Amino acid sequence: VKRFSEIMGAYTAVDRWLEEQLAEAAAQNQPRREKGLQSRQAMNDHAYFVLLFGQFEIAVNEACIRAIKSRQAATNWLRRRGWDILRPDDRRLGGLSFEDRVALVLDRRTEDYRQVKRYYDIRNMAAHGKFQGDYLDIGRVAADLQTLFGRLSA
Amino acid sequence: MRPQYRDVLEEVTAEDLPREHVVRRIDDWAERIGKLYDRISGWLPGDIKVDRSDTISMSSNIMTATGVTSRSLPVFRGRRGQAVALTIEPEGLWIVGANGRLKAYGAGGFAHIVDRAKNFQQPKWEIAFSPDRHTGHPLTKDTILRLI
Repeated sequence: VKRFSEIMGAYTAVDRWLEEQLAEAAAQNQPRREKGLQSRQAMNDHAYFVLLFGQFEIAVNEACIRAIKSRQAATNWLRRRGWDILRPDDRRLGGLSFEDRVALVLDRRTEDYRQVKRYYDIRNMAAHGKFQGDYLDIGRVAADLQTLFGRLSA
Repeated sequence: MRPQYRDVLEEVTAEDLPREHVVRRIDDWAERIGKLYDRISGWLPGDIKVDRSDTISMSSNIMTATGVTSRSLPVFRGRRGQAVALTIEPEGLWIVGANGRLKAYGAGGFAHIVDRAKNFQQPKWEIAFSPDRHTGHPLTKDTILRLI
């Protein structure tokens, strides 16, 4: 997740500015302004979450490419055979869905895999304006994504 | 077996969240808020009188999607004479990464009070002071009194 810190830095700068405005609106008893600022904060959270998840997707793709290339280099066909049909240099590794790419580098039967799948759903909801919850807590979500990144196994 | 929905991430991404689960979660949220207000009331100086008569309407996409009507939740106001010294107001329950959040403010500043516990667990309240709303501190008498 090469640009994770850079994205979080940009997010924090914008979020702090919105938060200062929100505090001012509350202190001045301006509920309509407060509501508008909270909507902007939520929109900002969604936008940065999509960017953060994009970094996670890049990390998944890179781990997949490493996994495929190392298995395809094996001289033992028994080790190589399932991996030979994959195309690591093609876009999306030859058309694999995100879920399948994740399954190459995380055990599909684990809670980690299910957690990635849930965040992928949130990413799609946020990107299409269909988020069902109230807010995203970006600090926690970013920490979760970094933990999951550390669990990817090439 | 009925899914447990351990946290908001699981709820928000569930295929068919049962209506009764949503109602139970709202009841639990109202109860946690009530106990939180009780606790904070006990920390305030004697000249501050607590007023919980105002309410705020709780509604969200999850409630609409499951056919649950909006609910009134109490707003906390600590009054010193005519002046409001401390206001606490629920912001939302379904927060991915948290289990509900309230905003709290007074002459000393603006903050968010966040529950970090999993669903239906003992609350783990934290407070984060504006503008750094992502750095939580334990919710204590001292951290609350900073807002007044």
